[in-house]
Amino acid sequence: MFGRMGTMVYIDLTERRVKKEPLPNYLYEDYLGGAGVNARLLYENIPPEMDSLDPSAVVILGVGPLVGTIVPSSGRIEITAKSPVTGIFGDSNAGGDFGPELKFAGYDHLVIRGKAKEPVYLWIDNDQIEIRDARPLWGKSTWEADELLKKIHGDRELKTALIGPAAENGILYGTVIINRYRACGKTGMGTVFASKNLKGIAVTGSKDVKINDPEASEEIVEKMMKAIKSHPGFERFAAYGTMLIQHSYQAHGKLPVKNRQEIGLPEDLFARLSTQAFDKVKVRDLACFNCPVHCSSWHEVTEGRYQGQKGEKPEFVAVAAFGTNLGNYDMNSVCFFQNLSNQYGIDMMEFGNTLGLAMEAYQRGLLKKEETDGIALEWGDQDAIETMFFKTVRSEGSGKVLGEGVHRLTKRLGKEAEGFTTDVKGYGHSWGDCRSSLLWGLAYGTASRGGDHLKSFPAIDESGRKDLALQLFGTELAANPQSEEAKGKANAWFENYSAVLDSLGLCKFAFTWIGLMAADSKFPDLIAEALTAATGTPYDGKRLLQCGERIYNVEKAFNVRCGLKRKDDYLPLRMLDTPAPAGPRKGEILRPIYEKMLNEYYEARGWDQETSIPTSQKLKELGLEDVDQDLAPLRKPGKA
Amino acid sequence: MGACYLVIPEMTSVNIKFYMGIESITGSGHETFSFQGNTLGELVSQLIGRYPSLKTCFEERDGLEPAPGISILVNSREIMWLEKMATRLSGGDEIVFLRFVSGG
Ligand code: SF4
Repeated sequence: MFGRMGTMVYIDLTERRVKKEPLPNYLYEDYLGGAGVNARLLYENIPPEMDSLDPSAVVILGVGPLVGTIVPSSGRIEITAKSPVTGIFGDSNAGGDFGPELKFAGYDHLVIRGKAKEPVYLWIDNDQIEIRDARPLWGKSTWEADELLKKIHGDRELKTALIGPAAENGILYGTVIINRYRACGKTGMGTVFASKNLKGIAVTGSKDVKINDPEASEEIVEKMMKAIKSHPGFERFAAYGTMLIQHSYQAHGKLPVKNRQEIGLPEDLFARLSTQAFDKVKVRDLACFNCPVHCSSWHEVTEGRYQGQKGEKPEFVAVAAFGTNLGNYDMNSVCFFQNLSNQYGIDMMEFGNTLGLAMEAYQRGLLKKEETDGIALEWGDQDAIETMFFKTVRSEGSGKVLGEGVHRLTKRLGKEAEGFTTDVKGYGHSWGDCRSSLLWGLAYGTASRGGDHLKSFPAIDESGRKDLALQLFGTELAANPQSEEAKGKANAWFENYSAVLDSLGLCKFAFTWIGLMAADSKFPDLIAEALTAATGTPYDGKRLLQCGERIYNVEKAFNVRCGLKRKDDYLPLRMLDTPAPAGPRKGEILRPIYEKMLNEYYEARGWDQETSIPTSQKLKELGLEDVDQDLAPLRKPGKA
Repeated sequence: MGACYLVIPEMTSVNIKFYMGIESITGSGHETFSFQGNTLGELVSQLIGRYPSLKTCFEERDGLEPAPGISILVNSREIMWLEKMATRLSGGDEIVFLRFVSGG
């Protein structure tokens, strides 16, 4: 088999059984690999009523057909399960080099179910797969466990995917940390591992990924590299990665401050979280597997309260989660909290959103000191943030409540909190203020895994690419962040495109943020050519995007079976009904525009306007007759 | 012979920010800048007078325009959706010079 390794592994931790099976044709032809195959397997293996932490529930790891090849930025791994935070579709994706290593060991997907009696880890050394005792690793941070596994196996090059103490202690949004610094952060995949007594996976492999047409592959990769490097901002991306976003947000009036009560910062405060502030601790550049962008870097804090902190560069997510959203304007502390998050295995965004909500509740008098173990939850108080972080990862006192996430805290706080929560489908939404940037706002609302920017990643907004907007969506206005024109169509397109990237194993920063936005990039087609060269199966951009659409519809169908409807695709009240306090649409209300965009989105998707359920016609067009039958009883009488 | 009047354009004072490496060209991250006139084009030509290297962020097409990848925001709106270099400015406006980066 070309491109893929051709093997899936079913692991039952209750029975301690490992079974290898060939990857079925229909899965890789229609769902590509990685996220797509994972989504389909989840749909087939989890009935809607099953709890995400039920021992019979599956958690699936997948790598795509371009992972581990010479295609640039092809090191992604996808983990998929029903989310313990939201109770709906959950998945999470990370870079690094665990994904390629899993492939070099010979596998495309691991489907894990059951619950081990004692903590275990999976040891994968090429053809050999063992369920091993993880008792010595349990309770250890991901960094300590990674180190211990390298010692046990005498291999410094071992690649690991591990959970930390946060998930073990029952926090709902525990992460799976890839090689210490990369996180499958969203939707609590680490908590699902913990529910199975699975500390993680260590893998080493030495097989080759066979390529159908290596010569063509090389030519295409050259074109891809040229396109990626032709982006006028390439050097800046390479130097700072997502840290450029805080500058863009500050300029565009999107930077979330104090749980989104405010937008943007005075320049003297902003400077403390800028790339210049990071320059003081930056040591050298780093990259994921085979990535020319190398958007990461190594930091070392050499002075002050956080002296001695070392690790990979904080992403913008961390700058907002521990910085602006909590009123804390100190880059060194952001480095510290990001390192802690990786060590303890906690989703920074959900923690930052939950603590931000708690701080605003405290400010409003809805939360009292008696309910916070005596801690005054004052904005920017680093001691308070640190104390609450440790209480959360240890599930102690009020930290237990924070460990349940935004949605459950909102419910506990009552009606008033609905006016300032960030809850979308049970998860706190991503950082941009949606009132200033309509397309990203719609993307947060419709994301299948709740409140998220990466399921769509519609980077046309604010890219300046009027020409691309015209080409893809028939109007230049699709690239105007303040126009509602064509936003539904654009969001659907980007969701499909992102599903393709996550399924092939390609990084969105390289292939959307930079690659697609570089002039003349021709990306969907170029990716299709790379897939054709790798696998020998002919693809073009159109077919690829149809696979993306199929994948997104399966994720949607999973959620429809869990009971989700149109009302679940809305942003929270602060974003919809409170006038923007600053930014380009200062004083305006988003709701009427959002309704229009959502209608256009459902139309572009072929989903019912009233219920949001995919129509029978759309599902049949995508070859999803079985899904159509499943959804038929959930449709309103007379609706197809 | 009648009297000869010299019309001196009004001064406008705006808040300027330079981000994403442009501050290393100007040596300044943000400042209040007063210029003669009331359009972005007038502001930019006077800024270039003060910071000659800022010219690298522009190119001549139909007059001076931002170079590829350079974005200019007036009160958080990109000038490509306003009147480009003819965008009118008022006292107290915020003008940010940065690079195109879109992010979630
Ligand atoms: S662009 Fe950054 S995150 Fe993406 S693969 Fe490259 S180094 Fe990793």
